[in-house]
Amino acid sequence: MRVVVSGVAVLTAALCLTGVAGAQPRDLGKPVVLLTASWGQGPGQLGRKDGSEGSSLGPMSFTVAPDGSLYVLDQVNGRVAVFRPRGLENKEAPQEAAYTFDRFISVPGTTFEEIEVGADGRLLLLDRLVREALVVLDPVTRDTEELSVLGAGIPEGGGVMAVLVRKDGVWLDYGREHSVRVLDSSWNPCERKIVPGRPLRGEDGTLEASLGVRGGADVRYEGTGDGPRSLFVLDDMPVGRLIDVTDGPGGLLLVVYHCWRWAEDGDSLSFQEVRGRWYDKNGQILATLSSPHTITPIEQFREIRVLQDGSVVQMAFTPEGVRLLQWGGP
Amino acid sequence: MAADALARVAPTARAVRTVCCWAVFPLVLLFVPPAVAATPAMTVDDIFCRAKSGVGFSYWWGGSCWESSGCSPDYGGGKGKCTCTCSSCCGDCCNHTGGHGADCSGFTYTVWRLANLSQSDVCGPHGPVAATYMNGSSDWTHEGDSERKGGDALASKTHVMIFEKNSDWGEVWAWEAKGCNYGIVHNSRSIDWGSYAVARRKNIVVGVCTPGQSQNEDCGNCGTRKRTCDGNGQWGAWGACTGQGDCAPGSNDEKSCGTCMHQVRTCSGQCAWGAWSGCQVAGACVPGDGQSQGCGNCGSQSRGCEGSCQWGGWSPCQGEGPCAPGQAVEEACGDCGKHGRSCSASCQWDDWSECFGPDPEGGTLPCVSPLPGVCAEGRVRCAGGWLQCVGLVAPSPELCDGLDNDCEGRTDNGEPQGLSDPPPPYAAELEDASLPAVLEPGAIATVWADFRNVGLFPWPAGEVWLTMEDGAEEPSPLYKADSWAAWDVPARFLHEVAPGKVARLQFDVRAPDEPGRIVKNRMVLRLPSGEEIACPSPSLALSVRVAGGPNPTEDVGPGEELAAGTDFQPGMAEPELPSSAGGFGLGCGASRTLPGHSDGPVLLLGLLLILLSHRGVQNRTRGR
Repeated sequence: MRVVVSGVAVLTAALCLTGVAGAQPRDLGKPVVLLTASWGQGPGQLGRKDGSEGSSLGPMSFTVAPDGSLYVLDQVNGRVAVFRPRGLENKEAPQEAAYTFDRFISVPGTTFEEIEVGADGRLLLLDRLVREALVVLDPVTRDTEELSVLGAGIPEGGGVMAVLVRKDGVWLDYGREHSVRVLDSSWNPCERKIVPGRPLRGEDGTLEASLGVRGGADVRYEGTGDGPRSLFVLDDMPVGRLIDVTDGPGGLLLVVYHCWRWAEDGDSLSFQEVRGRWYDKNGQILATLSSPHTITPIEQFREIRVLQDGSVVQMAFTPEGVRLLQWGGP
Repeated sequence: MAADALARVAPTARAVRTVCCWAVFPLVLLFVPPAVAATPAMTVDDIFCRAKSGVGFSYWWGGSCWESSGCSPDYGGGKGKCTCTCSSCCGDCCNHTGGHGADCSGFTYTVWRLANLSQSDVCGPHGPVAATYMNGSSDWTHEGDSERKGGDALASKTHVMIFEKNSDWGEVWAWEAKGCNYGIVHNSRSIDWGSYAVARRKNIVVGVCTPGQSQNEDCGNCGTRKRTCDGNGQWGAWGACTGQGDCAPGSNDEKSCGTCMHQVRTCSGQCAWGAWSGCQVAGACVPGDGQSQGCGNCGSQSRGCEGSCQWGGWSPCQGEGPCAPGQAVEEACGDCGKHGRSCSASCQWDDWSECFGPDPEGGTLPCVSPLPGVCAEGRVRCAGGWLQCVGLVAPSPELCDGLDNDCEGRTDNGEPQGLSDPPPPYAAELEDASLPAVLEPGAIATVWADFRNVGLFPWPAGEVWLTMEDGAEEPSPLYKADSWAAWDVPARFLHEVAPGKVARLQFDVRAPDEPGRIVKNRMVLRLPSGEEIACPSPSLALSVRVAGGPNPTEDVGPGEELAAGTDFQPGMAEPELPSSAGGFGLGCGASRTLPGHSDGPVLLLGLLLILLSHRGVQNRTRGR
């Protein structure tokens, strides 16, 4: 059965590409495996909580620190697992994954769902459901500061869908409708500012996205230089869920989505895949990526992270554990 | 949630938990269906309302109980607390304290009121486990994932939640008892549709209310009335207003307690009358009182209190002024002006303001002023309200410039000394002269005068004459026919005199034969047109006394008067004429005098006379 599904996936991916007008988009190919970690509580393992009349939980999020380390929010075990690049070690004795376990950082709670790492090593943690707050943790001094996310633009913590670190501070995506700046660039509380959609990464401006008609998705964005632009993302399968939409290097635009095809009974999926498309400023597709890893019953808050260089990292759950995969930039 | 209701259901929840904790995976909770299997009617809004009321309560594995106040949670009885003791929470690893909380299936069952709970009861039996919702039952139907609607349940083998709506990105908004660490939450989250199924509660009515639901509202004076939701989800009519009080809150009542006196009482917020006040003035005034007030234009009026304790009418307004303070009027005056006045604080008109108006056509309308010369050109102005022609140039001291500067009607009159730049076309300046002062009877003397042409134009040869001033009708007593060009023209310039050049006029005079006679003649330079050269010093004043005789007589030319102190007295000596020809009337060698005759004092007087009459010439000479 697995072989059959893979065959369908290859065929579907081909159809996706042939449907693109103009120059052939570049296929970003197979991802590099950054990390494999098994489920558990030991060193290098990541915690999973199987639901029993409740939601199943896995690591909620991950990030890449300024020094290149991988931070995985292992909130089930009440900690952050830090992995470092293997570097030369990888050349001398090639391993499957590019990162190896380094250390744990314990965090004050088990309900955090998002993590960011600052240039000074401080951790920014989001607990949207219980504390309904952002917590800044200094892993050296163990000092913490907590800021409620509730206020203008955020009536309830459960609507916060993403933490967006930008040059001018930290923004929270609320309900995929608007974003609210809650911290300044030094992670201090600031006067709130609300913009529709979400702020761009590379310049002043905003980006809005929503599922559209005919199984497509609408993306509208407006920067400082040009007037508003829009894209209609249409694939050979319906776009069931948008995972991330962001601008990247050179003003390129990345749309990552979860597409699937319903089985005839309308109650199960006959095929599903995570796909990404890089668009240039003219709306042309430059490059594509695809991943067979989709979300599972094990809940996670962040699936995809786009790094500064435009590479895309996916956190995937398997029965054996957690895998972090990386595709190069466009 | 009432305390007695909590006491009633809590044992049930505890019993369920006990059973659950004995269970083995896959979890099967003990569920005793109610005797009556009919699913009670609900609206989607009611499902949402009940789901909202559970947010914030603890996760309680096997539990299904919380307290609510309308659609909001009521934490007064505690939220309950779940503690996880192992990583595969919950089940045996869950330790819960407190009487409130729910797991995912208990939460869903209670939100859906599947145990025939009352409208407000959020405590009840737990119901089936999450996986049960993946298939249809007597209380719900199985629906395709893509057909989900608000109020449905989303169920997997291990979890179930209440679906509210989709987000713009395809996530779902849901209420769920998420787990031991989280409790019951409302959030937007992703769903793995490969693992989840959709269950739709039966007997969802589309209406504005839930059948059987009742509603109360205030009515009348602190009363209440009630209505009930019918089987179609529509509100029935309001019932009668019951439990009303005696009065409307804030209303007043009064009764009399004497002339112009009364007592009052006020209705309380509970619709009951308060106590009567003391006796107090009821009307507006007491009979005999009076009032006055200002009226009209600084007038006054008065009124008195009548027997009814009410004020009578105001009297007519008296003592008014002609106007109201601040009132202003304006009216036309003169030809072109307006003036106004305003009313003072004492209602009297102030004086009219000055008559003033704008110049017609913005002051550009040309006219001829009454003054001649340079003052003639004017503009029509509105001065003091009257139209007048006002000259553009005001009179000024006369200049030697060919213009009538002082606007007296004559150009360069009075021999003005100031030369304009450029000068007028014709102007002459007396540089030097030799004039006889005393002559013996019948003596002949030569007169000469140097004039400089200070005008713009040259004097054409033979066309500029030295003539007697206007008014001479007969030859001068000094006339010498063989020397003069004509009887009234002593001399003329025979050559052209260019501007800036000096030329001399010379002629002889013959003294009359009458001793003591004084002859005064004024001679002016004149153009052939007859026009005199007017300035700055174009004339020659000749005053000759004939020596001898006791009483001098005068021959005074037109326009000349005898200067005081210049006449000769009997017995005075004639002045001695100098021999030099360069002087100014002194020692002039051209004059002829009688030998041996001395008139020294007279000569000095003549000299003084000449000096006075030619003061301007001397001044100009010194100034150079």
